[in-house]
Amino acid sequence: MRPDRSFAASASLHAMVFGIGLVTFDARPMVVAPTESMPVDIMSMSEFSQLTRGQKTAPKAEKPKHVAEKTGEVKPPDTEAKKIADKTIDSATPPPLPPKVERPPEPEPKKAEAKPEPKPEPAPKKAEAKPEIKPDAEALEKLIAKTEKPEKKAEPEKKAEVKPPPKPVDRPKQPPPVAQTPPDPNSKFDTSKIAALLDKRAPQRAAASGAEVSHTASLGSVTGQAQQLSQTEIDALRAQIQRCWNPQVGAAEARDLIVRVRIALNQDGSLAGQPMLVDHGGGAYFQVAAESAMRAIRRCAPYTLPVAKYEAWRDVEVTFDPRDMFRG
Amino acid sequence: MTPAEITPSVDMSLLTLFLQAHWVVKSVMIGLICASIWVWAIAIDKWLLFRRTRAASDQFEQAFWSGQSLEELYRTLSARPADSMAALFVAAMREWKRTFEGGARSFAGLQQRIDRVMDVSISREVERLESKLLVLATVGSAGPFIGLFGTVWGIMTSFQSIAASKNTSLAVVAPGIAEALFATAMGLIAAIPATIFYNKFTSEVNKQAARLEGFADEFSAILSRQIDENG
Repeated sequence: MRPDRSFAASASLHAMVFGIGLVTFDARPMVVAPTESMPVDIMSMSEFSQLTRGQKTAPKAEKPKHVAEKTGEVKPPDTEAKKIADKTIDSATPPPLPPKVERPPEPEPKKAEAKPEPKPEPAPKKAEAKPEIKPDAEALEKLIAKTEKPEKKAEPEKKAEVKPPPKPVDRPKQPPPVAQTPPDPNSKFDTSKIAALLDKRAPQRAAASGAEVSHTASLGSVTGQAQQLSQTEIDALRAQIQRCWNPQVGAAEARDLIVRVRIALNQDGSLAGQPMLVDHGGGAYFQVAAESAMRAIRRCAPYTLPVAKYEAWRDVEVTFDPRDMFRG
Repeated sequence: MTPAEITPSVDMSLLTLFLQAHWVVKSVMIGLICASIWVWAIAIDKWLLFRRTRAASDQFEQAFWSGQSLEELYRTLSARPADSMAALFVAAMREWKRTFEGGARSFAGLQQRIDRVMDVSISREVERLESKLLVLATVGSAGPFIGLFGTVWGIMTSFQSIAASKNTSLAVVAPGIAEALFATAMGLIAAIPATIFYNKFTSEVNKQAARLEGFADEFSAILSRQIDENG
């Protein structure tokens, strides 16, 4: 058999196969979208096992908490424009600046100004307002120009019947005079701003709800079984005891006078029995330190701790360490 | 691979896969393509050879058992170069005739000589049939390893490109891995047909050899009877 012929046949076969491959195997250009990396927290096994029990689908809150509002003293707002905008809406607040008082704050006069009768009024008002405001005359003038734009625009409209509008501020279409906020050319329609304007409450208020332990945790693992006091509760107990404890600052080697006391508590936070010293150190100073610790515990006796975790704090060991005051 | 080639969108056609590869990988691919061409050439060659041999053997057996005179058959076959079974017959007959025409007194060694001659021609035939089959075996067994070598080399270069760009995104890694795996694909493309053809042709050779052995035994028996009758 002629090997050159079979070689030619084989080579042509390969050429054909690769030709088909070149045409058909034009794999789509591989476009890789940049993927964002996911932040991962590493938690230890003990942290994981100490997760509090919770459900992802737990109801958020049964009822809205009462919001206590505290209104602070009226501070001058940072921008004059804001103040004036507030004033135009909230006429209840007394105007702090005299020049604005002369302007009728009610929207009715503005409407009235659209009619020809009150036309002369705004002009003299401005005229007398201007000389009065000396300290920040420029800013106020600008503000007045802003806030009273409807009025000012009402004027030229009336004048327009006789002569062309003299000011470039005028626009062919008149905004309705009831519009209380001056139309700012570079501001957009924002409902949240309107809501803020309609808010009759004092802007200085601070809303706060009372501290309350949520009984349905919305976070936490389903398998979490931790009944241990969390750090915040330990801190709470520590803070409560700390109020009544007078550490022995003057004692020799006061740093080493570490007293560990075991406290049994009732469900209402009162002491169930006498606090017990866990270890009895030697020395006179230790006795004094232990006594002071006992005294502190007895004096602050009814402790407020979450009832739900009563099992965890029924029997607590508190360490009185002068170095860092307490460790629960 | 230069960083310029590491672009988020990579052309993955066969040609670019080949052209972007390192020269070691390229040479591996070229070698594997050549091996594949060779394998297929051998396969075509052998396939035609076996088909021809089978046809010639069938034809010869038909002629041999047709009751035709052996002398006459020998005369027609020795005129042209014969193969396989015909060559066996011609070699045996030549030895037979040489002994008789030489006027030998003893036929004692004739049987052995004929057997030996037929053995030699059988082995020659088998050798002709299974020549180059070792190439198929070699390509079949070594092809994947050669392709794997190209893959390893390509992955090494792609790791170097990761180190150069300090970026492990898929866009950096993928082209190098793809071209590296292309080398393994070439190795498999060469090796799989080679293995299949090797197995097929080896069994074919065995079949042919068994057929030749059978004929040689039968012919040897016939000649032995002749020798006994003459002696």
